[in-house]
Amino acid sequence: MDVDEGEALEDAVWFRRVRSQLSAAGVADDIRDDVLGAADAQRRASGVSAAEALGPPAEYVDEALAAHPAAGRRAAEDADGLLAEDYPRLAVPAIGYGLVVVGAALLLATGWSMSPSWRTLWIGLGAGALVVAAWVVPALVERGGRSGGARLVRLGLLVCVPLLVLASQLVPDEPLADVPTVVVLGAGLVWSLLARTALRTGALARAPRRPALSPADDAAWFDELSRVLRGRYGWGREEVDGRVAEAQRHLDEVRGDQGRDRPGPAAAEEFGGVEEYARDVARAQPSSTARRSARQQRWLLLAAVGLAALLVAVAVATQDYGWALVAPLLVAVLLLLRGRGAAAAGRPD
Amino acid sequence: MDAWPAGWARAVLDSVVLATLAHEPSHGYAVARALEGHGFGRVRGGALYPMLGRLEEEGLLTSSWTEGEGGPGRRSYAVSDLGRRHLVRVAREWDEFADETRRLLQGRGGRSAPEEEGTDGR
Repeated sequence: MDVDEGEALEDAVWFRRVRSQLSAAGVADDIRDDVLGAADAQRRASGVSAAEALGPPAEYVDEALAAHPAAGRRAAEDADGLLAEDYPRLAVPAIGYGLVVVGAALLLATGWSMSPSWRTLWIGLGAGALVVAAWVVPALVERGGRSGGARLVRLGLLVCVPLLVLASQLVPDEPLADVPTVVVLGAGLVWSLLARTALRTGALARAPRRPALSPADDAAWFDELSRVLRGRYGWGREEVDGRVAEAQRHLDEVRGDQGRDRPGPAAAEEFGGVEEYARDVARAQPSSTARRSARQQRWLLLAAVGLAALLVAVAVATQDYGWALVAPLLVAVLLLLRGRGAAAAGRPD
Repeated sequence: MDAWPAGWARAVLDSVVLATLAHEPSHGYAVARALEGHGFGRVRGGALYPMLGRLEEEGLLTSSWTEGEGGPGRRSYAVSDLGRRHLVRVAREWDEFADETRRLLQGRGGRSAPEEEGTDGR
């Protein structure tokens, strides 16, 4: 192997490592490609290898994240690191944001006062429930490792759209009372502020870790590894089962070699703490997490489009075009909430 | 010597894991046993499997899954073409590093720092 070929090879490995570490930091593909492109330009201009021109991959990634605000922001908003238990509490501020958006839309559509009917209330509450359900329930089911179940839930939510519209025709449409529109807006603002404060102060605490495992309880250790890889890092069931089986086999062989007179190490001794081991495994293979995130985004978009269709249909059915205005706003909020909620939840320790 | 100093072993662990698998594709535990036999101490699963995953992610290793006979299945790792070329380069660099270190340790001096070249007559 000549010198040029050797340098090209070294550069290939350097770029692979930077790519891998940027993905592990949660940097989106487009920003990652920008960073890699800039690195390649610097390397070419320098005339030396990437490692000589740009330093070790880990240092370069740290510098890139610090110098590239967009990359840092995307990394902070990375949703990975949530457990299924985190999702319900993230729905609490979402309700407040939804009320703010609905209140603002009503203010624009109907002025300072409105006369809601039972039908209006039915539609409003139903649409709000669908927003929260589309955001929370499929994610909960999928993070539990049941991707097929999550698909069914999403289809079920889409079926709920025409059902909600049809059911609204059975609800009386007589005005209930004159209500100042700002009440909805104000309630939403107060709810949002209280929820955000609760998140910040820890009153809505992040899902706690499970109680400490008994060091000798290997079955619990492997169960917890499976749960954390699926829940916190979003790995697929097949991938997780493979990793767990590999670790179990390893442990069996270590014990077999130690003989019958010695008990052999527990899983916690051989692999360390579950959270730490899962973190190391997940960081080593960021592509497993990236695939799951992309899939969730696609399904979220589908849910958002379905919801928009619902609200437009409602507007046409009720001749109340305020709902048509609500639709795009709700969709925008829904898409924004995922990243903001994830950021509030924080990343694994 | 029973085992090399832990710091030395840690520094070259990913390279010697690659080298072990370049000799023969194998599973994680066999790699750990082989390294133990070469004086690298007991490599625990907590260090080994994340490293194997990283090397696979970097394209230096490939893996395939086989169902176990009478027990859990196992993943077998092999060095890719990229990994073999990487290993050749690492081996050459390690030779240079070892030569320099040996010269220093034997009191024969190493190569000059770049900024000193041309100023000390060498």
